[in-house]
Amino acid sequence: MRTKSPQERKSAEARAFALYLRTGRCLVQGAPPERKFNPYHDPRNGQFTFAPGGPKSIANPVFSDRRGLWKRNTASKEGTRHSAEPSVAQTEAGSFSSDAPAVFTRANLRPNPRARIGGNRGPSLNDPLVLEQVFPTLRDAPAGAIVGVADNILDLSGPARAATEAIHQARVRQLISQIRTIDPGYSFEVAAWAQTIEGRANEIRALRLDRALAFYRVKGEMRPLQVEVARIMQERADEAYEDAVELYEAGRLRPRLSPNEAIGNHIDGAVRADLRAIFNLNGVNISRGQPVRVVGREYDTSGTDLTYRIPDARVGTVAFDVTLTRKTLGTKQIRGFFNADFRPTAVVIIRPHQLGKGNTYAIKRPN
Amino acid sequence: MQSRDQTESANSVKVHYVPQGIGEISDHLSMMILSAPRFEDKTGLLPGRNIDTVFTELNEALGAIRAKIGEDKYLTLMALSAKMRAHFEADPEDNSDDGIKGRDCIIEMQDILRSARRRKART
Repeated sequence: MRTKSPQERKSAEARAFALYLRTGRCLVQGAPPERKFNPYHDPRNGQFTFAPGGPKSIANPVFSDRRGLWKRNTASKEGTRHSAEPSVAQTEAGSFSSDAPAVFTRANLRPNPRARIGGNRGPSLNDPLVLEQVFPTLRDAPAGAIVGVADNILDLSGPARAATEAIHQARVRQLISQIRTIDPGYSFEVAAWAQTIEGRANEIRALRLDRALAFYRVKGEMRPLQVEVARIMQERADEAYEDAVELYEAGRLRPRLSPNEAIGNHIDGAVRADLRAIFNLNGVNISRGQPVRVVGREYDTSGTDLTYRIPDARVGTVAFDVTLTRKTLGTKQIRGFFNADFRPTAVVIIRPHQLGKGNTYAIKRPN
Repeated sequence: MQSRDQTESANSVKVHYVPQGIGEISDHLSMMILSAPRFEDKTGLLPGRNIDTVFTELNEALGAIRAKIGEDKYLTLMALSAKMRAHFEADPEDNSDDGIKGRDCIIEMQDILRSARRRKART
């Protein structure tokens, strides 16, 4: 019986390696990538991937679908949609078909529902339509509670900064579509798309106000207008505070009163003046007896003496007050607002964001 | 509508809002003191606001309360308005004494309006 030489007893890999050491030639080709016990591999390189369905927090994650259960229909649609890109499933899965049933599939990355701007299930949190979205626990808060504003909910510059041109244009079209659903005659002509961050924020701001006004005029619904008034007053208060402090520190504003009082008075006045001008420009009647007022007397006829309070603004059953000082139910003025005949459900206190966290809040009506 | 990257002067007529009464004029002056010397709106909600529209609104509002505040006060306020505008036009970048003097005029006007309101309340 012929005995094998030591060379023959070696495995094919060992012989190939010996040949490589002697000659530099490599005989081993196309060895399949090593597979670990984790079933989820990228068939192109054997690297671990995510399990089907996760994670959704990153764009285009790679995952394996060994059992072929993961939304095949969606995957095929995705493939059609991205037809410009070669289908990795078709081009590469074949070469691993003998021992790698895993099919490379683009993840079905569903958009974050919290980032949507509308749709059948209502607007996203970034586009609040009612004050309960601006002050999240307002609806369930106990009577008289103070409810803080949600972080950045009234900010438009941040989203404008983050939006690409396509996203911005989609938002604009969506808002126009929403307004036309309410008011079919609405027109918003864009001769040139805004290119700057400020320009984009301005377009969104104008459209949101138009949408709120459409709700108010066509349906008599005031809740979206309450949100937009809160946004306008917050933006104006922030801007006015910044200007006032800058002017004072530069010595360009010489108040007769104490600096804080003077700055506060100028901010209040500037916000009210702008709000009046905006309502006037948009044809909103803010005269006596209307549900929308700017610095209007709100009478309390419940007592023997006729008294009144003057909130900075009022929209429906919500009063708004711009102030530097923190006001609560313990403040006589706030109690006076709640006692007024229009029976406000909440008083929104607008304070510049430069004053720190908890600057703006809503006070729910006490029982 | 045009692009909102820039203020639209074409729509300036629509912005025209004449403050009604002493309180609203005082608010208007507060807006002026903070947005001087250009008086431009940054949010796009008041396109076309500029030094012309702001002073037109102020002067028309003063004319509307002429009878209430009396001729002397009206003439003083109009003179201060003209002086203020000259100061702001002389300092469009807000980096010279004219900007400060213009704002001093506003504070003087607010004091006059306040005294007029007090006198009206007493009578």
